[in-house]
Amino acid sequence: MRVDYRKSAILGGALILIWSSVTLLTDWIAPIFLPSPLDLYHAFLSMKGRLIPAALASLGITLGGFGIGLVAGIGLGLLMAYSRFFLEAVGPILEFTRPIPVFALIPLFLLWFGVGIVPQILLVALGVAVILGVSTYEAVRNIPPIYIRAAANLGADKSAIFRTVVVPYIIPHIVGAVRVAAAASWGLDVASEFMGAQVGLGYNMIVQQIYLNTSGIIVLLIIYSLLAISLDRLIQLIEARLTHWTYRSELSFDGIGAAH
Amino acid sequence: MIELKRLSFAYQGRNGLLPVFEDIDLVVETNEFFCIIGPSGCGKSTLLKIVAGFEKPSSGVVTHNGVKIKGISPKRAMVFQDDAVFPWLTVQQNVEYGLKVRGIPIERRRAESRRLIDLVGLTGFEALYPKQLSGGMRKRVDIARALANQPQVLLMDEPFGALDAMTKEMLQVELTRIWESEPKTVLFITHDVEEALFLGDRVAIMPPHSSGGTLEIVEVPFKRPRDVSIKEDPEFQRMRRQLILRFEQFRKSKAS
Repeated sequence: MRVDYRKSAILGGALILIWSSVTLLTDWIAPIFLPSPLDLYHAFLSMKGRLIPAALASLGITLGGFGIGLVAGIGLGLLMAYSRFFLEAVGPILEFTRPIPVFALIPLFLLWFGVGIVPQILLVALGVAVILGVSTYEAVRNIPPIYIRAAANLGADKSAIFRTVVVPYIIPHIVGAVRVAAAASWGLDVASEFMGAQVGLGYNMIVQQIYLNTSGIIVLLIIYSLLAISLDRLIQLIEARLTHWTYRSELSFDGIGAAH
Repeated sequence: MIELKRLSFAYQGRNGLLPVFEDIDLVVETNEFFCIIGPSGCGKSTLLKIVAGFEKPSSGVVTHNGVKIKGISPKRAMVFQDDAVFPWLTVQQNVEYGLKVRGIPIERRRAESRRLIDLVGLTGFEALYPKQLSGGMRKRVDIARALANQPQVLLMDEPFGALDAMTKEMLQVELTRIWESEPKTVLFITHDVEEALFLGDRVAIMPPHSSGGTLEIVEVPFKRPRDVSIKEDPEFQRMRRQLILRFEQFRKSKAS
């Protein structure tokens, strides 16, 4: 779908213009609530040295947890779809524990693992695995039976069907969950850093908050957003490569419907 | 040779068994092109699925060369009406699927798929994905893929039902040509009387709720190789009208 970026570019530009003029030229809003572009620039300069190590730390936790959670979640979903025994043994327990908000486990993790990278990565992995597990299982259950029948008729046994039919088919159907999980992993990273970290962008945000340095907080937020957007774009690019075979509808809803 | 002996099938409904057909006897000779025609809902698809091994009969027996059919086998290849070609594989990968999954080495796979792709007239399209093909081309991939396992029996469930009239006729001609060059037993289901008469050596009529014994079978007299022009033949038209009339009679007798 071709999006016309001009409209949002104009709107965005206008908002930035209003923000800049109000904060730079007037004193209607106190800097502690809304700093000016100049304030942000100064804050960026003063934090420059710490930004890269902090970004790397947050990135490491997020991507590490995301990767582990992805493998664990998809593996779990496939296992539950493949083995009825496994599904019946593990399924109900997972269903029971799934509604527990992962964030609520932070204090427990801190007690178990102390302060450090390990509990943070585990937390992110857990959150991601929960999202992917369900999504994968549902995707497998929704495979059109005709593909399974055709594969079986052509001589494939159960494990061959899983390898050659199930896995390729579900990839475009779990992409939505993958992107949601990626967004969630940033949130989990931030939350875990707020609770007990010594490094990372989120940890630095708390420090800035304690010093009432709004500019610093906003600079860190911008960096966080840029990282999250980059990861999402990366996922979209990988998705496009892996799912070029799908019958994706190019439909846009403009102009559809009864004419008057 | 496929033999059906007192074959019955009934659905387990909420209020008891709903019979679809009962006590059908049928013999399909080896390398014969056998068509079954019938209106929607007469159970012809179910019958084919039982022969393929996807369903179990309620009672009765199906044998293939004397051996009772217990399940699916690449020796009895099925071509469905719906699109069953794998969208994530290219034409060539689709055709090679059965061979690859059975461990045939790459050299033989390539040679065999090239031969079959040529046989169905898709040379040059090997690297394309199903999404880039027309419905008729996908159907041809489906057929090539089924033939790759060298089946003894080809089971076809209204394979051309979803195609437009021109593509349908073209594929009827193609299928006849392929079968004449590589004979095998074919069991072909359709509701299109003209199609059954053009393709088949014999045509069986399956009315709704068939019960008891052999179905009515018509011998198709036209010599092979057959040309599309036989559809204009007065004898062809007469047989076609007669078969359609027969169905009318079944309908009326059911209503009464």
